[in-house]
Amino acid sequence: MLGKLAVRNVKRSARDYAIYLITIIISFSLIFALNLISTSEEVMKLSQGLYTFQYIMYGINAIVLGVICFLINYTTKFIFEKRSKEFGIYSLLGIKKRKINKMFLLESLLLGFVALLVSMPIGFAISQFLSIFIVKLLELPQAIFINLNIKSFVLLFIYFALIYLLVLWRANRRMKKSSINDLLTLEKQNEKKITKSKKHRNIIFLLSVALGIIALFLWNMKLKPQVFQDSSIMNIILICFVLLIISIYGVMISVGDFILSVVLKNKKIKYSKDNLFIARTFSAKAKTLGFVFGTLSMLITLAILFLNISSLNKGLYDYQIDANSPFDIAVTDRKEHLKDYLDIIKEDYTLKNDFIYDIYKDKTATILKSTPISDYESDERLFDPVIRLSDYNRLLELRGQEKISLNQQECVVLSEIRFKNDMNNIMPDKIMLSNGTELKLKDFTTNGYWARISNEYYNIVVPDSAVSGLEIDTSHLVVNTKEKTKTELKEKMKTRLKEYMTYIDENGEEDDTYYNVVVKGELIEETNTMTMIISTICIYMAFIFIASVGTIIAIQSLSDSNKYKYRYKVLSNLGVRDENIFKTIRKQLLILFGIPVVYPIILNLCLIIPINNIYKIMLDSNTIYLSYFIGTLVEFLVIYAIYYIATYFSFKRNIKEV
Amino acid sequence: MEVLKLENLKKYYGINTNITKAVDGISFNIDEGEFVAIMGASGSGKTTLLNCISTIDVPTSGFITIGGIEITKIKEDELADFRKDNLGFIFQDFNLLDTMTIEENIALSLIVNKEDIKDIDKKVESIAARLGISDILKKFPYEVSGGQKQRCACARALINNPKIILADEPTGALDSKSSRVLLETMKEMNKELKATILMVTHDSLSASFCERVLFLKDGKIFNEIVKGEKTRKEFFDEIIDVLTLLGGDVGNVR
Repeated sequence: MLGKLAVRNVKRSARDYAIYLITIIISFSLIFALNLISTSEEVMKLSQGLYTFQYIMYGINAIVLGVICFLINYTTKFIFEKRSKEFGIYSLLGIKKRKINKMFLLESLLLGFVALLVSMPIGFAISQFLSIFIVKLLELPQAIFINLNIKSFVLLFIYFALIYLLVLWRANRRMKKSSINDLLTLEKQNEKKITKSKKHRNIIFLLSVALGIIALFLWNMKLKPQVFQDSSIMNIILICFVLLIISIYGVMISVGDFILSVVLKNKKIKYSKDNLFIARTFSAKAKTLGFVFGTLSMLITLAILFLNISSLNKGLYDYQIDANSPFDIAVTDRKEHLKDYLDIIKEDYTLKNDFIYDIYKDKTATILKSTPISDYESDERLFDPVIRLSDYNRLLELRGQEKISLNQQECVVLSEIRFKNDMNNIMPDKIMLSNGTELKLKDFTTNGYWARISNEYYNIVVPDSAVSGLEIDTSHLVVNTKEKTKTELKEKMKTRLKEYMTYIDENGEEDDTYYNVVVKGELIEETNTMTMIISTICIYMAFIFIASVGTIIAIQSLSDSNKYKYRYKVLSNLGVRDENIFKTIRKQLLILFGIPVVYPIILNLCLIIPINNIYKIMLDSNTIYLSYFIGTLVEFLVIYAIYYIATYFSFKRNIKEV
Repeated sequence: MEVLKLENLKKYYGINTNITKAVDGISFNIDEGEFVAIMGASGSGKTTLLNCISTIDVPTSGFITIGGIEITKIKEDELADFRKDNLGFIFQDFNLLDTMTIEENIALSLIVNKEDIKDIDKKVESIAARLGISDILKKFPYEVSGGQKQRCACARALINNPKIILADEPTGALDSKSSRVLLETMKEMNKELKATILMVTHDSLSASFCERVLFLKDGKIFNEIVKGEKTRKEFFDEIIDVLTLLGGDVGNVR
């Protein structure tokens, strides 16, 4: 009987909680799909980077599970409160609380189980779509079919069990704690206000806003392009985040009263249109739901942040490729070895052009000695890398960039973008090479620099004659090919030229110098993989967060539409026409959906500007982040709007029902 | 034989100086087969009193004995069993479960306590026939009228032969015709099935169907009248007279 009752109750609540059900189904589906992908051997074989994906997914899933747990726990609690009277009646009729509890837990579990079962085929379908996406991104010849594997089923069940253990444990405690009297009257009780006095709440609001401003100020102060060398930065970021979390919760707890005090003070606003009705309805919610609203705002903040990171990361794509491998193949090794590499390349590829150059050591090490970030291991490495002007110009030419010119007493220093500001501070006017040549610093620039030019983060370009007498450090080979390079080329070099690329270190262990060969195809694949992993993870988390927020607001509003049907009846009896009532509902829902969003959007914009200051040099333009930001907002709002619209129509249906 | 016995029952709410004495030292007995009404204005302590007897609420002091068992001493865990065996409930807002048919609502406590299915069927049918709801047994509560719902609630209260039926404003949500039919039914339950009924009401018409009426004011028993040999009309007039004495705050005097 208990089972039968539970099934019937689930059926009945299915409509009320359709939005909730759909959300957890989609959430489970996504978890399952990503499980399938991250445990699929076929996919893992595609790229080395995908193994990282597998491990990252465990961590990400922990966060996602937390959020889903919050959602399910919240909804379960909500259903419990709504049905407490029913439980009270059971208890009154002589059914033991233990049995009632069992039934409710069974019901919640059943609802979850239905979602779990439905989510499996959907998740399977999603994983196939994702595989198409992966195949396209990695430019693979044929599609991969994602097989169902036991591991992902087991994982899904473990996640499910974890969530429901926690949720049911909480529900069990809730039931045990409430007496029959509580059960019978819970529905009628007012929810507790978080703060008592009105004055306090306005102070909390102002304080929280102030905290937010302080946090953003700190963020802005600290997040400068030098950030990469600042070891205290992690602490500062942590402090900022803690302040922001406090600020978000504070604002959301007090904003209802703040708005109300503004609206009610001004008679003109108060009595214009349906403002009074909406303000009262909203503040009643905000007062009691402040904490939940805080959590919702947190989730929205994170969701938008993740989406932003995803687009920013995509924006860095070109930079990453160009900064690490402007040529199809680049090899660093002893000069006499380079020909062997070239031979191997020729076996599979048609050369477009190739070029060999040397990097010289300037043992005066003027620059290295004055940099705060110098980390040379031994005296042997104490030198500034030097390249001849003609070599450098040839490299520029191969990259399709304009050549530079120097007179005999001039030099140019190149550096990696990340170190530009630091280097700028210590840059001497004159450089004295160890062979006695004195050169005037003509320019300090990041143009033309790439990571493999000398394997150092900066480089001095000198007139050809100035290198006489300097020792050669390394020789470099750069090649452009007609065909697109592939990862296999590197593998081939690794096996064929093993003796060049491995060495025995002082501890007698074998080490490799595979990093001395850069193949563009491999880099593109890695970058693609990383971009894909980051985007997938960011979008996945953002989606789950947004969906959870949308669901909680939807459940809240819809239960109100049932509970306070009479409010709209009163409006209707007072002579307000149906379409005006609907308009009021739309406005009311808009405020309910909108309030948790406003602060996160402002925060995110403020957070993203300093981040852009760091990355703008690597992006296509200084303001492109704004278009990313807007794009992100659109993505966010589209998903959010679906929840808004679904809620509105259900709301309308509910109040129209007699 | 007395079914219910209250001795100096008190229920106070609040803390320190701000104490509400909802029930302030009430003592009375109800014998088997009696039909008793408790009347009083809003806030006079009727519902609190009934909640204490129902084991929903715990009294501050005093004793409640039902069928010889001191209910304030029963452990929370065993209370459900006690309610099942001894108490029947009828509420103002019916408190039927929407997800179950009328039949299932009536049989719920028996089903959950795993009684024999044949027995259950027999019991439900016989009670339904008595209360005139046999033809709506397969319907759901939202498909029947208020009066029918309340008769279903009566059947549910009767099904396990409780020592006492506690009714909280049973006619409160019914129109006058349904109210009358229900009261007739309850009267019949009392007479024919020998059910002991304690009803809380502020409707004097409802009270006039009872044998005895207790009047509450500020948590204390203010007066008690017995129908005896009087007609219902005479008894009704007498109730009205007492209510007038009770004070002008009884709005529902007809």
